Amino acid sequence: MVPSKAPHGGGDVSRSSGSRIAWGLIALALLLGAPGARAEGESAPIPVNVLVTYLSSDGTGVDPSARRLDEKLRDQFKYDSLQVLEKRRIDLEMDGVGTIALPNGRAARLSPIHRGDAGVLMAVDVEGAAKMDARVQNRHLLVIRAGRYKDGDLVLSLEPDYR
Amino acid sequence: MSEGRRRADDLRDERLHAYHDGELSGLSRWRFERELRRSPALRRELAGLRSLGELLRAHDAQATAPDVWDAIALRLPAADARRAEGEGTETEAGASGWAIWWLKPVGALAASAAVVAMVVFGGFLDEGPTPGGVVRWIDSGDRSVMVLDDQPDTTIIWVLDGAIEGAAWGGRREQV
Repeated sequence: MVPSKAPHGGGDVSRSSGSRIAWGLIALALLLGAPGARAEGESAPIPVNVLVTYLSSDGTGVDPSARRLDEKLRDQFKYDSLQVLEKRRIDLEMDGVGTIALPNGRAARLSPIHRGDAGVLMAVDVEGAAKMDARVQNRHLLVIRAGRYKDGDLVLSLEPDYR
Repeated sequence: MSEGRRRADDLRDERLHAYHDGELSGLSRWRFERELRRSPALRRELAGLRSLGELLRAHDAQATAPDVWDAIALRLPAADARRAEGEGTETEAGASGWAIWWLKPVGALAASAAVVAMVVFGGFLDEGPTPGGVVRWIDSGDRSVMVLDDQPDTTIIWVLDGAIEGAAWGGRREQV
């Protein structure tokens, strides 16, 4: 008995049109879903790594947990000690304001305004130092001198870490 | 206390609060004011309610206004910076858009091809340097400030305590 080719051929046609539909759906999902997902991502809270450090020349050495900051500062400034006073991660709501109490009795406040391809636009106010707006890429380190502290300097580091 | 007396007190309290809140009108208001003139105890209760209201209003004003304003003030310059970024993009798009409207389908095709090429050749995640630098606006009052941004993944904003200190630190980078 010669097997009929019709069912086999029909199966190919069905698979081919199914594949086309699948590709069409994927393309549609990419076209329609991507902007929505992107907008949702842009309004999601921004995790920021916060490091409050004390920079001095008191001979106590560099705290190993601040090695990356030390690498960035060592060629720019004269010091031999870098002590970590506070290290934490905060989740900042878009347009919300996060406050960091500094050991010199002042406060730093930061507010993410917008997140886009060029990074996060943040408003930062370090009391007694400066107010600024900075567009910071993810994992970019924003280092701000927050004034004198004891016999050295208080340094605040902010690093958006959202991917 | 008898049930009748309790109900009378409740009713009086209810009318007192309604009068205090400005909810009594017409005859009810006239009756209550007449009662108020006759009863020193009722006047004391009304005075107590009024002073409590003023205290609460004063507390609300002290507690919320500075926080709300601080949050808004902190965001104002950043909102300007963002608007400036947006205007820049819109101006560029607007200037070229009207003259070459007929190129839109070609542009869409080219954009699609570019997206495919980026995905295929792996350049999709490479965003490149941020145009305009990291620090978009800064106000350090009368203090000098150095912005050191020669490292690709770090920006150092060194706010000095005074103008003289700049010499001690070298002040060798861009000053804002």
